[in-house]
Amino acid sequence: MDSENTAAWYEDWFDSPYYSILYQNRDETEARQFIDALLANLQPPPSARVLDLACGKGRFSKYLAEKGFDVTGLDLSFNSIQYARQFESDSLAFYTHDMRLPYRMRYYNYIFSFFTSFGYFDTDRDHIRTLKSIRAGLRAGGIFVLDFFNARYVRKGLPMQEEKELEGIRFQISKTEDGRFVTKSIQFEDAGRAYRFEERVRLYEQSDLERLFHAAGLEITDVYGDYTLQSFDLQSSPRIILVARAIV
Amino acid sequence: MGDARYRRIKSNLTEALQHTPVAARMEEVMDLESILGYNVSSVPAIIVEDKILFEYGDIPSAEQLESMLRAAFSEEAHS
Repeated sequence: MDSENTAAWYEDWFDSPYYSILYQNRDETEARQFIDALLANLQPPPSARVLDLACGKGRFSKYLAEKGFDVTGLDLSFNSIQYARQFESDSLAFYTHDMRLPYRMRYYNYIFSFFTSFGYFDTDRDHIRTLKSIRAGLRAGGIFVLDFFNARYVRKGLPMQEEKELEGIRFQISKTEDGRFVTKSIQFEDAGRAYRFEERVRLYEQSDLERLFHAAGLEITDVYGDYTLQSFDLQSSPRIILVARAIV
Repeated sequence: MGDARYRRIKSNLTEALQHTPVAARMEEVMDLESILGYNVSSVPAIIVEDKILFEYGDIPSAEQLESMLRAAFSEEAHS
């Protein structure tokens, strides 16, 4: 992305080939163990309708479909969805979609938002709108799970700077916060051209998320603090994982 | 707001309307409460005269939409 480009950061960065390069060494095992632990906890019935919101290239949608659920993966990134479509089957479909709008109404038993796919917008209004759209997609008794970072825990590690070399590209990464947002700046050169991308996520704390969920008609039933589903602790938990039901 | 599917359905519908011999006005509804009020099963959806023309599946082409619109307007004229 050139600095003149005014598109929202998530519209450019997730569609960029450099995103996949930078995050190629993500801990997939931990992610799958988290999903396994979550499913063991929620015990979805066989063939439950599951929405993987902001599914990226569909790795975890595919994993969920392999477990027998009827899965839809949605993501704003056209390139990611084009890639994910190679995994489509009778029980797995992918579409581009803006999470601020509802997709299928009163349809899903479970909607999952994994790995900090929330908090990208500038305003609370857009985040409440996203949660209302999620609520609109849930069947009666349906469950929404949000996996987000623990803002208090993230703040402790800021500011941060690091360098990573991947596929011959030297990424210079810095993380800062301004009280409302944590911003990860990613700079590098490739083929003689300089690039700069940003990830900018709202530092929502537990009380903020509770307020947003309530405004959207979602009732929080459980709160976990890490990928093994230990209890949430404001100071020490790396994650905040909220399980919520639609308020009838 | 919206994504590639929204842009495609809007573009296809605009093109289809140009080839449909009825003066029709297209209105884009993005307000969440209004969308929920239409009682569609999925969005993006197309509503013509309060009837759901399209609400789920692959986005219809401009040609397909033209046929759907002609049928909808013909039905409307005969009702």
